[in-house]
Amino acid sequence: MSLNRRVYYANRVVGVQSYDLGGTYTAARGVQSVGINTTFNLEQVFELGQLAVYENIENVPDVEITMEKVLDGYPPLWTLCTQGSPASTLVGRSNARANVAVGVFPDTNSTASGGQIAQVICSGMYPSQLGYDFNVDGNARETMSLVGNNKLWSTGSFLFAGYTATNGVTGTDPRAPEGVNRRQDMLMPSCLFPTDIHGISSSGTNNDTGSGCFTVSIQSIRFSTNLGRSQILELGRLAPYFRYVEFPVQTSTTIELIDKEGEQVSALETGIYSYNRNVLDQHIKIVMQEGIQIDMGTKNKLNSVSESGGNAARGGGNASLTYSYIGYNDFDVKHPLDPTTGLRP
Amino acid sequence: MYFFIGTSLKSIIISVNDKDREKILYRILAGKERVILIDNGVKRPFWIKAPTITDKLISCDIYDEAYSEAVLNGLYTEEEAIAFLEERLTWRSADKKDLQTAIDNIDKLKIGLYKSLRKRDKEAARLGLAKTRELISTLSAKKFQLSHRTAEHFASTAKIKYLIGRSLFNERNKRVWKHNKFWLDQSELLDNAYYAHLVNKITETQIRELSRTDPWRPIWICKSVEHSMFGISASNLSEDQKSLVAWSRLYDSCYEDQERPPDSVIEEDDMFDGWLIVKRKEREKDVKKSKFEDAIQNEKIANSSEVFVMAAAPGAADPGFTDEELEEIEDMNSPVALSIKRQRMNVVKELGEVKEADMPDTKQFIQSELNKMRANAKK
Repeated sequence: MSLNRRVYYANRVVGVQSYDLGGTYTAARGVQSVGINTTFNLEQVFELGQLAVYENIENVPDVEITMEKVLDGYPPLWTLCTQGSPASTLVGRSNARANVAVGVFPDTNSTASGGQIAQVICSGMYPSQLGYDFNVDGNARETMSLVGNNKLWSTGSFLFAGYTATNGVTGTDPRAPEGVNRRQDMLMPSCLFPTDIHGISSSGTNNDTGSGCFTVSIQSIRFSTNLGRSQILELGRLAPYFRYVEFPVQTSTTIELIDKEGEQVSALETGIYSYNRNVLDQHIKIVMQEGIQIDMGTKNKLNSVSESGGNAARGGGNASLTYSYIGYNDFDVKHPLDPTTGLRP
Repeated sequence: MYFFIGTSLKSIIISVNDKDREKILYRILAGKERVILIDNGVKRPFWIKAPTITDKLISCDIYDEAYSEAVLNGLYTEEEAIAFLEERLTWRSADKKDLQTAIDNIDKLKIGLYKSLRKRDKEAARLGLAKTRELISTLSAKKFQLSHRTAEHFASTAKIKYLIGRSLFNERNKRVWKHNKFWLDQSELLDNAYYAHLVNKITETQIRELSRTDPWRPIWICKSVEHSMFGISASNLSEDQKSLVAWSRLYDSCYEDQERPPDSVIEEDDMFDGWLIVKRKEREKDVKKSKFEDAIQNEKIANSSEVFVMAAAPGAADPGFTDEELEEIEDMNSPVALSIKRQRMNVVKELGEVKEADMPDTKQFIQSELNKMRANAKK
C-alpha cells in the first residue's frame, strides 16, 4: 500500500463477537491501533484469436485485521476472539472465529460514545497471528491478527453500539487497579524461565538476590506465533469453507537480558547432556498482575543465543544477551476475565 | 523598492529610497538615534542611545513600583478596565469574537495571497488584509479605550521615560540627567524625547526590507569573515539590531531553501508571511504524523491500508477525543487519502451498507490492476 493512499481514521471503539455463538459485541478495551488490509485476488482469462480480455475474474477478497492492545485487566483480544473454545491452549482455541467491528468517528466529533458515523464489520475472522511483548520501558502489549473474507461498511443500525454498558463498558479506567501493566507488574515469583539462562534457578525461577535486583535482569520478553491458516475450498462455493491451522505450529520466545556474567551456554559435538544433547526442554511461563497467564509449555528449546551492545566505538551501552526459544503447539493463554468462563485460571 | 502599509483601505505604497535605507541602517548599526528636541525654548540636537542592561534592570523595578503606586491610587488594571467596559456593554462578547476571528483571518488571508495565482485574486486578498487590519485596529481601539488610564500604562510610561532619560545624551556625548529620580520630575525635554522616540520608531516593515536589500546585505554576508557585526555582545544589542539579525537569518534560510519562493513573494511581506505559514504548517503536520507513526509500534498495523488510531491515552479518564487530537489524526492523511476517505464516507452514507469491493477507490484500484495485468499479458 502506497503511503499516499493510506487512510487514517480516528477511532476509539472496537467490538468483538463470537462468530459461532453470536450474542452481543464486547468492547475491546485498551486497544491502541487497528490496521486493516484488503487484498483483491484478480485473474484474467484471454482467448485465442482475441486481443481483448475474455473475462476478468475476481476471486474472494482476503481481509486481514491487526490489533494492538495494552494489558490492563480487561480480557485480552485473544480470549475475546476465541470465545466458546473448549480449551485455553493453542489447539483448543484454534477453531474459533470472531466478528470484529471498528467504529469510525466524524472529524469534528469530540465524543466517542454513540458518535460513530460508520462501522466496519469484518465477519467470520480466523485468528492468524498472536504476540505478547513485555519491555522494561513500555506497556505490556498484545498483538493479534485475524484473517477472513468479509468486510462490510455500514451506517446506522450499528451491530456494535460502542462503549455502552450492554457491551460490557462500566467505567473509563483500566480494569486492573494497578492500571496498564508495565515492568513492575510482572509477578516474578510465579513466572518460569528456561534454566539454561545463567542465573535462573534449577526450578526455573528468577529469584530476588535480596540486594535490590533479580539474579537475571530481564529487559524484554516476546512471545509470538503464526497460525498460517490455509484455505479449504470446495466445488460449488466461492468462499473457503474453512481455514485450517497448519499444525504443527511453531511458537517462539525471545528473552533479552543484561549480560552480567556472559551467556554461559556450552555446546559440544558430543553433547553436554546425555544422549548427545546440548539443550534441554524448557518450561516458560509468565504471569502478570492484571491476571494474564501465558504458558508456552514445557518443550521449548534454545534455538540461538546472541550477544549485542557494549560497543566501545559506537556509544557504549550495556551488553545484552538474547535467548531465542522455539516450541510447537503450546501457547496457553488464561485470563480471569476470559469471556469463556470455563477457561479462566 | 516598495513596502506596503496595510492600515488603510487603500494600499499605500511608499518608496524607501536608498538614502532613507542607508540612514535607517546606520542608525541601527550605531545603536543610537539623533533627534532635535526643544530644550528651554531652543532647538538642540541630542542622542538617544540603546539602554544598558543595568538600566533595563532598574527600569523593571521602576515599572513594579509605579504599578503598585497606581493600583494604590485606585487606577484600574488592564483586566479591570476591560471588565468595566464589558459591564457597560461598550465592549461586547460579539466584539471579542469579531476581534479573535479577524486575528485568525490574517493568517488565512496571507496564505490566500501567497497561493493565489491570478492578479485579481491577489488584489482581493490584499484588500481583504487591509480591511481586516483596519477592523482589528478599530476593535483594539475599542477594547483598549481605557488603556491610557490603567496602572499598566502608567507603569510602562514611567519605565520608558526612565530608559529614554538614561539614554539621552547631549551633543558633547554627556548624559543629560545624572541623578536617579529624574523621571519623577516634570520635564518638557524628557516628554519631547519620549514622543520623538515613539515617532521615529523603526517599523518591522522597514527592518524586513532592510534585512534583504543593500546596503545591509553585503555587510551581513561579511559576517562569516568578521564576526562582530555591531562590536558588542549579543545581550547588549538594541531591539532594532536584534530584529535586523533575526530577519536577516530568516531570509538567509529562505534563500537556502530548496523550495525557495520567487523574489516577488519574498519582496512582499504579507505574501512571504503566507509562505512561512504554509511551511510552518507542513512542518507541524510532519511532526504530528511522525508522532502517531511512532506510536504505532506494530509494523503490520503501520503498513496497513486502513489504520484506525485510538486517540485517547490508555486508561485516560476522558473517553472522548479532543478536537486537537481529531485534527492531528486527520492531518496524518495525505490529500489523496483524504479524498478516498471522503468518497468512502459519502458512499456509505448514501447506500447504508457497502462491500469493500464496491468502494469507489477499490473499484478504481481493481480496474487499474486489471489494466496492468492486461498490459503485461500483451508483452
